[in-house]
Amino acid sequence: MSKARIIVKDMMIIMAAMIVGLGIQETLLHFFKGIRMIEMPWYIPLTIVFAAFLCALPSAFINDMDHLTKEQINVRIYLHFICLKLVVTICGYVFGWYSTGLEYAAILIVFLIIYVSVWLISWWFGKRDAESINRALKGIQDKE
Amino acid sequence: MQVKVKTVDRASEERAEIHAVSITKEIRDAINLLEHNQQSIPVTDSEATMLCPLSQIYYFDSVDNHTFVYTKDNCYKTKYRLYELEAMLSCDFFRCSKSMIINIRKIASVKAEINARMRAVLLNGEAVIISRNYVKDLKEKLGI
Repeated sequence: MSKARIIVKDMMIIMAAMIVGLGIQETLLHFFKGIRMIEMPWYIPLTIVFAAFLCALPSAFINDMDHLTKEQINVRIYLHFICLKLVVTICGYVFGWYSTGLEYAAILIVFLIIYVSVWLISWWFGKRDAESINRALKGIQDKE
Repeated sequence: MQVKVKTVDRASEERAEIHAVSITKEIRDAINLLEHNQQSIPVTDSEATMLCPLSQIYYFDSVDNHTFVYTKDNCYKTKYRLYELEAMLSCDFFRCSKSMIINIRKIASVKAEINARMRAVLLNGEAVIISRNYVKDLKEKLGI
């Protein structure tokens, strides 16, 4: 898959995750603070698209990691996490996603949940694939 | 495809008859196997050139424009490039990364790793990486 397609694919996933995160945040605010309406400036949906695009760009350096050791992969994932956290922080500040320290902390928590969830889901799909592959291998393995 | 096997009393009576809509690669491989008893490729070690049966080969690895052939306990060189081997080899072999072709029958098990790649442990205990871009090919080869 070309880098452009990877970035577009990741951008779609991140946009969906941000909307889910926003939904979870507003749901919690509804039940804990009784808010009934979401009010936001007109440009907020566009900022989600823009931020998703910026967050998808670092995918380029975690895409081709097959030749790396586990330690090198961990370093790249950590750098990827830091890049995304910076994007979320800067976009949040510029676009007014948060105005207090508490709101910033809430956004970071949602970001952390989404980031970890995406990696866990990817790992779970891989684990499921490995199980079905191992089952299929049993029938054709050479006996040595 | 239905497969029927009937044992006979004499070697002179042994024959195989294939009824197929079209001659696929798998059918051609089966024909080659039956006609030539066992497929093999020429390999060299430090001393001589010999024919190495494909059934003994664990994987091919390309390093610095040289292609190495790995069996259970030995390592040889072959003149063929990976793209040439891909065209020649039977469906038992599949490309698992940019520089490696592996014998599916020699895979003991696979384990999912981070970044959707897989670690394949071979029957001789060696571990190789299946790039995430090639996992789909393995699943297709196994009919998953």
